[in-house]
Amino acid sequence: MRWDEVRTSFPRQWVVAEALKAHSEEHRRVVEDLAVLAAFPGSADAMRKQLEIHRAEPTREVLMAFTGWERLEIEEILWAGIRRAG
Amino acid sequence: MKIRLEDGLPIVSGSITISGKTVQLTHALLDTGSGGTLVSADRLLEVGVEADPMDRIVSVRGIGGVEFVVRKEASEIRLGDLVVRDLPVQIGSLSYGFELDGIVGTDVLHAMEAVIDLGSLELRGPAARRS
Repeated sequence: MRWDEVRTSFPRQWVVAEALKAHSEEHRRVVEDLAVLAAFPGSADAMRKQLEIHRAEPTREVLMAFTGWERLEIEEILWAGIRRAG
Repeated sequence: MKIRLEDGLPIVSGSITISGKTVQLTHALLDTGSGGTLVSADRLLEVGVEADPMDRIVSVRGIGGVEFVVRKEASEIRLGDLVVRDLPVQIGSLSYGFELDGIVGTDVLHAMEAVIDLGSLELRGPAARRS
């Protein structure tokens, strides 16, 4: 589903969705195809759901977004991580 | 304030206020290798801070996957006597396999004019800076 289709199907909801097709350009993550995994009227439930899926499967690209947003604008940051003493 | 070394990492305690609600951070990492500051989504959800339509989402790509976090404005971040106001922070899972409820990045440390003294394991403000 494209973002405009998600907006039409789930108006004014917080959706938890997997990016099935996405690419990075100019410090942005551009999501072309989404699969909606869950939709909620409130953001707290969506945040909890996203955390649950992210922790179980961190390699899946799962995001949370509000369908009131006309565009899905996502800034991208690179993270090199934290190393403990070993 | 005192810095604790836990697993070789500099950890402090503090608090953050977002949307009028304050959360105590007991394990916040001082991380000059991070440009931004992160706070545990679980801790914020516990006190009723949630995403709102004015927030932005940010994709954090790194080793072992990608995480989408929410960027929110913090009205206050406090580490002992050091305080900053009105800075954006990211809210994420902080799932790194050890206890962490915040990552204090260079943005906050710079705004605090913080002095990280690893000799005496102390975090100080600019008034205590040695000339």
